[in-house]
Amino acid sequence: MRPLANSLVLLYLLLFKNFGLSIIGLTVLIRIATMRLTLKQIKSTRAMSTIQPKLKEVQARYKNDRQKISQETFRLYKENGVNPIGCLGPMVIQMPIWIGLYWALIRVLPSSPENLADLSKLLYSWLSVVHTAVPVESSFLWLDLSSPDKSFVLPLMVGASMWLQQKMMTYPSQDPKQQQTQQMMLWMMPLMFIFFSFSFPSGLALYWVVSNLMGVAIQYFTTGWGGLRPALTEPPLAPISGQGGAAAIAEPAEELNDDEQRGSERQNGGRSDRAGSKAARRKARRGRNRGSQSR
Amino acid sequence: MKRRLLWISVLVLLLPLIASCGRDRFSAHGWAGLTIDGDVLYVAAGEGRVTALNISRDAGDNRGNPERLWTPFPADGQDNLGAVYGAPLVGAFAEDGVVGSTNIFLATYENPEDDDDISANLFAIDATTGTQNWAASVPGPVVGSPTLVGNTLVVGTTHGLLYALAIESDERALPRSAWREFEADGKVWSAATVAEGTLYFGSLGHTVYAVNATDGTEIWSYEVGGAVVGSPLVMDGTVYVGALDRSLYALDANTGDQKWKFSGDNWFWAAPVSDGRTIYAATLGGTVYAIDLLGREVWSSPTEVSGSVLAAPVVLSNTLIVATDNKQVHQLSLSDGREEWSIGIGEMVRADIVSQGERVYIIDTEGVVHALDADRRIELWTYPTR
Repeated sequence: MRPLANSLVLLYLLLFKNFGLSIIGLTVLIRIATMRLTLKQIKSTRAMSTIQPKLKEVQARYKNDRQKISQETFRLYKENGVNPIGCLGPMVIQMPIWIGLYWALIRVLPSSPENLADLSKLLYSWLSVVHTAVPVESSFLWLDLSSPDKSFVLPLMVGASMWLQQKMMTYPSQDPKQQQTQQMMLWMMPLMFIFFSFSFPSGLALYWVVSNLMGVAIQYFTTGWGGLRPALTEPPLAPISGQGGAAAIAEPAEELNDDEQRGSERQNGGRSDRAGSKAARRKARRGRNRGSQSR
Repeated sequence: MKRRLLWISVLVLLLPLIASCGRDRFSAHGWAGLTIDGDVLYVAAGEGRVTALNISRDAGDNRGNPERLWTPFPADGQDNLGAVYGAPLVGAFAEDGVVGSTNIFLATYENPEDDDDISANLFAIDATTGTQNWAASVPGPVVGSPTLVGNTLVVGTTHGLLYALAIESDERALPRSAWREFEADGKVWSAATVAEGTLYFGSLGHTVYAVNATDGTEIWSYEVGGAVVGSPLVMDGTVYVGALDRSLYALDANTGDQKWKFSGDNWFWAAPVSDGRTIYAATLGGTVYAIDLLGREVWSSPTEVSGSVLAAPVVLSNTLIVATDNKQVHQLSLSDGREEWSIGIGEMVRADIVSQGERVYIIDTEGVVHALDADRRIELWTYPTR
């Protein structure tokens, strides 16, 4: 937490004594520093989702032979270059950084005399310049970064950006249970963070918004619109009647091709994503994109 | 479905818990303040509750609990006044031979502008009965103690303004504005010090001000290297003020020109104190310095105490009493800084220490008042205000 707190104060001095810019700057720097881990996480999640149908098939085929299931699962992982904990590992490594940033933000923002007094223990004694910067000026745009935003704007931005990121990260699943969990996370996480944004200093909410938007950008440049794509280009999926109540599921192979296609779409400036939703046009584009990829 | 419901229930239950933990982390708790007037010790506990204790018997050999003079204000069951960081001020209206009844003036870290439930952050409490004479509000939370100059009550706020309110001979009459508020360049947490009709105070915007106490006009301002939290010490035409840039400044009281600057190991938060020949200043790094009037160190080396010093120390006849965030009180020799005695008191000390003779009164952050006899090096009594 100490390096982060000192970095925040140092950035505050460099960025025109504006703590809002300091938060944005540090969030961007951290996101860039952890980019490799984030990319690894995204790729692992995507790879995992693409082999789900095959895994299900293995489980169905060898349902009475646990050892065989393990062997075949391991083989599938190996063939597809999937590390089963690959999507969790980077997240676990990043967690201390996010928690540290969270606490650094709280400690650097002088919301009370107690907080300011405690800050002296965090600042490096050898970095004399940071001592001249405290207390940081907490006003930014319409916000007092040391207290919650009562205008609803920032909390709603937190919720919207988190939903967007969550939606992009959600890949269609054939497992109704998994779909339920995905749906729950898609809504519960943003709602939780909207609630937090009403209780915590708006400096934290600003950090969440910037971090989420960076996440959205990274996700877009890595895998395209991801789970958001059906919402942008296709009519809503019809629910399957019955116990699961899950949405219709695309063929995994198709999904994989979609991912490949997105890379080409980005090269075309992403115009195709905005081009409407008619199936015929989509198919035609797919054909073109496949062609362009094979060249 | 059941599992899903369970998940949602757990989250719904956890949300208020997490949010309340967070809120508590940022909220202001106050660290109380003490003032001695005659034989009475006025105690403003951190949460905003005032008590008066009779300390007349402490001079003798008595080590029993002090007598409480009146029921604490506000009484049990009533809302507290709000977080208190500064000592209560005892004073009365006096003009042309007319002297009003003595009041305890107390300012709190509440902002009536922000909270519909809060209507006041400045209070006048009758010092004899402990009843409220009036409650007023100034925009913005208050950290430093109010200052009384003649019949003008001066208070600085977190909104960066210094307000002057004229108190009336009728002790129940609400004060009116004495002069247009003075605008500083940052939050005003330091209590103003008065000397020869001039108010001296610092701001978190790195500036020390000298303001005319009669009309609120600026006499001079001087930009120092860091935020100023503690009150300035004004002595023999010099203003001594500590700043968070780890420096103690000596400024000319008439012009604001810098005479000298002394660098310490950490923030100078607490106000410096003096015995007339030497300035004693402590830092949040837990170091106590003795500096002569020309800015040179007096002791062969500064004295390290047990923790951060936020409470202004007190000078006794031959010793200096310093209390720390590390729940310790130290008695240091004025001549060489050597520790002569120390005592643990169970909680952090952040409120300024007060003294009467060789007796020292300290309030910890849990609201317990400790009476120490520095001469005999004993704790006389403790009094919990909560």
